[in-house]
Amino acid sequence: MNFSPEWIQALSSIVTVLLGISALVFAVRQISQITDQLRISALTNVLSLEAEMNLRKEKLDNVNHEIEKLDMNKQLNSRAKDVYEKKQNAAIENWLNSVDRLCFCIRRDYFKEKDWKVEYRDYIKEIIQNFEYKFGAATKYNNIIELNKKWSNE
Amino acid sequence: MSQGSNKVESSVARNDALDPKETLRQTQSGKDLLSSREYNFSVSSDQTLRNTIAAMDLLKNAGE
Repeated sequence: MNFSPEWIQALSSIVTVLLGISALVFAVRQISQITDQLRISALTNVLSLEAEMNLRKEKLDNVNHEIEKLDMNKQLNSRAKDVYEKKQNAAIENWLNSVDRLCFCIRRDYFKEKDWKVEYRDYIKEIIQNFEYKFGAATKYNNIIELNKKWSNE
Repeated sequence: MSQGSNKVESSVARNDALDPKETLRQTQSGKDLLSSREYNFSVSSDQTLRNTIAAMDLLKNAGE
């Protein structure tokens, strides 16, 4: 069976096109899988940050319960008061630090802002309202303040 | 949600030696998490805030 040079050229062109299409399909699938992996990785980071926030919030809850128990048992004397004021303040600071870190990640686009706005807008606003004294001029929680300002104006 | 998060975390931890089927399964699990997040997630700190303010009041009144 003899192939003319034109036939061989046509066949090689067809094979080249088919290979090109296969490579394109493969590349698109790879990109899609990489995109999925990146989204999952971002979600993992968010979940671990949220877990850390909840852990610190839980520690604050525990301190609050200890204070209530002491009060119920009439053991909240001036010495206990000093100790627990410091303990509660430290727990509040630890919680706010983790919230500030979340706000930083949202502000710097490490997390998609639109995904978090609905969930955290009220959460952040209530924190600022309840701990107003922590958000004065010399506040360490600038990311919380700035994100709240931005979301309040939108 | 927390069970799903463990799956994703463990997938990241063991990412060095995954067979393709396992990768696909975990990708699907991650996609499920993403969609559940879009529709069924909310956070609240109301009770913690109320408890904190109440405990602060108790501390304030303790010295009086």
